[in-house]
Amino acid sequence: MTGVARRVTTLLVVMLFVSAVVFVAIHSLPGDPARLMAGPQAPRSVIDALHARLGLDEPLSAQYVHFLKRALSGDFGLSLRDGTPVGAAIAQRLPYSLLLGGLSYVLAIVIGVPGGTLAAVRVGQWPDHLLMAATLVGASLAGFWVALLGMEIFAVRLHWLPLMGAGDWRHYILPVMVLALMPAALILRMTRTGMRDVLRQDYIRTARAKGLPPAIVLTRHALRNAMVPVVTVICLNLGGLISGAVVTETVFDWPGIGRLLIDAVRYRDYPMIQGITLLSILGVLGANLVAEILIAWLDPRTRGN
Amino acid sequence: MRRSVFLCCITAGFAMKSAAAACAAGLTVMLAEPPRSMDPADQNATATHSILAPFYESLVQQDETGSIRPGLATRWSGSVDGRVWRFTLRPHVLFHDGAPCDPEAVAASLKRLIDPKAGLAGAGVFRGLIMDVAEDGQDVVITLARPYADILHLLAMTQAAVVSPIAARGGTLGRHADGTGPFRFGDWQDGDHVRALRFDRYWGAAPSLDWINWTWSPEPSVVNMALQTGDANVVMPISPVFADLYTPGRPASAEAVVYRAPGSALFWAALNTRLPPLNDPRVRRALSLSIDRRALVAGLLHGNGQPACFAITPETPGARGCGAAAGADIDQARTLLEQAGWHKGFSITAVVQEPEEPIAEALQAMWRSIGVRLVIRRQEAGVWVQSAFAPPDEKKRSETGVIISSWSAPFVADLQIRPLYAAASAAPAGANLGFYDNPIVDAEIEAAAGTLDPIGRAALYGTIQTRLADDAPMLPLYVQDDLFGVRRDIEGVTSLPDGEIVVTQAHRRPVR
Repeated sequence: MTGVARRVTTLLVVMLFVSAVVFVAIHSLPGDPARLMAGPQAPRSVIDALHARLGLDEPLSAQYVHFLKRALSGDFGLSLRDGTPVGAAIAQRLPYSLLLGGLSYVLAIVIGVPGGTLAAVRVGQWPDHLLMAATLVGASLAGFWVALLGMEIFAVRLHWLPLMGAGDWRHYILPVMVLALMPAALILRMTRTGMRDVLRQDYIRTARAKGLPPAIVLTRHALRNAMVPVVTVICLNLGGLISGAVVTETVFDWPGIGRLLIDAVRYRDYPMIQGITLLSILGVLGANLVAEILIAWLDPRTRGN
Repeated sequence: MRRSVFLCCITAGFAMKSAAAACAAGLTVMLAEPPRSMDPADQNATATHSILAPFYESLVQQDETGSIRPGLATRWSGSVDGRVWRFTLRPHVLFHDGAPCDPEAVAASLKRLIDPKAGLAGAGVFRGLIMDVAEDGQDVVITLARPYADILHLLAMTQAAVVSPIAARGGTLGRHADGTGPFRFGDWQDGDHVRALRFDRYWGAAPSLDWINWTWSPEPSVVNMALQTGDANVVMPISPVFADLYTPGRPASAEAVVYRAPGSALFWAALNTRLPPLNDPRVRRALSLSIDRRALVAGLLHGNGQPACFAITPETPGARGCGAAAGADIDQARTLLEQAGWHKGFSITAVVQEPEEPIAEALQAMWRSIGVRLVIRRQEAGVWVQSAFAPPDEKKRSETGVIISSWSAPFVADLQIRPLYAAASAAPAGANLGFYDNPIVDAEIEAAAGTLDPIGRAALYGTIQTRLADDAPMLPLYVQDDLFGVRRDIEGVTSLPDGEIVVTQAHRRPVR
């Protein structure tokens, strides 16, 4: 219980510190939101009136205090662009991003872990060469280009899949595959490396000598130990899911957080950027916590730490 | 109209299932960017104008030729001195919330637009010009601070559209449109769509469409694919790179047609007139003379545009054409540089956003021929705004000599010249980004704006254009055509010179 309380306290302190850093950093970005809203035609008087309306004429410290007071009660303020509550806008978009990111990671794990295991078991043979070549291609191709290629082939030419948007399950296929490409390659390579190391260990030889079936040796003895670095990488990347699919969401017209963030940055929508950034940080911190718990479960030796 | 749609559905219903589906009388339009606001007075973006047009109406409206037509006002008249304008309102017009659109509502809407406390983003050209708005029976009387020849064109702009007083008081306009247009607001899902639904109590002819769905994508290739697959029935704009795919005989031409309409977006390079050697008009003219504007149109726009050598765009009364000046005159440019003492050339820096980078690269190549080296700094939108609108000392510190951008204010010469060239508009107060300061031009700008006689006004603008071309504080480059794509089963889509797409009268072709 003490451990949990300590972690929560640390989390709050980190969030407070990060919120101040993010607030200052965002407001230091060059570009005036009022000018971006009003356009180049607007005279100074209109810009000044907009500053007053948006509360941007107050000192930065006062703006931060207002932000902090609201944030503590769960209110991240209103979007400078259209007056939408930031929390509501994020809540509307978040499920789309989480679903897209979550599915892509499931796909990446489903491809990466068995693929990496197979490559490790058949190291130096054709499955290994094939999978390594595939991961090289997967990691090298730009997601943006693959997305456009997939749209051209499957939506424009073959009419098998919808082009864009987030409608039924068919809308998920292309973006999930594109988003899974890079993590699948990463997980596959990590799993292969981890498994190769573990398969050389004495206890694996002992397990085989005991006459255990190869499948049991692989899944129960080798894979669990090989998963520690893989889990770390997966969890670290999971934290970025909230705002990490910017390119994919833009190309596929996906109504997720990534696109919201891009628009917010473009128009210097400070409260929106602040809200999304804090959520992302929370996601990263949460993912780190999950990683620690999973690693402790996978490798009991780490529990004491 | 209604009959053809009805027949369409009946025929399709008997003929084939897929055709029946096509009879759902709606339209999906894809634009390049999302709407900024549902409040017409709180935005200045062309894409937003397109989305808001079906929801709102102004006192008057302008067509694609710039002619002023009745809108919410059926007739109007101006005083002899051009300062007092009386508009007689159309009776029995309702807002989408059911409130009557009477003189009180119109006056409240315009007063809100010019109210400094409201802090509306689109108030710029109206505040300071409109002094008072009053009701008088069925009329609305607008009093101007000074005579302004183009007041009707200003009142036809989206920013001056009449909004419901109930919605304005409730503060909901930013997210929920409420006007008198033929379509009422359906919903706005961030990052996905805005939906407009037919307003059944509209005063005018009912549109044939039941709904309009607005979507957007910043990626030109996605816009092109959406037109081909039918995910969008109408797209605006379609990149010149993809326009050729729809030429007759090519596969995509079976699906859609690309229309070309004269645009009004004038692209230019503003020169910092306070930074040596650009403070010398001979150097600025040399830079202008070394630009091959025809090559820019051919290379960057694939021919979809026209060269621009003067400050006013072609559709505007009094505009001057390029003629032979569209090509480069390198010898003359070198002579001018020699006279100015810069025959060995010099180096200057340009700040651009990503879309304008190809222009900068083309200028870099052209200016190299007269010994001028152009350093290009590509900047993100917010950073660019900071650089472009920086005051003289900051621009001097950062050695910003050239700013490349575009400007659109169709039909209104004053809005094409005053914000860019008047001394009072010098950055950071306005968009005179090169700090051009010429009292003679300032006086002529004022005189032209207040001259009600069209011939006299055109003559004044002719003089201003010549003077600006000689001083060359900004180098007009070209005017880009608007390209928009329409699926073959859709008719009645048009565009306005400011790049706004008009779909309220669109309909599907009857199935034969």
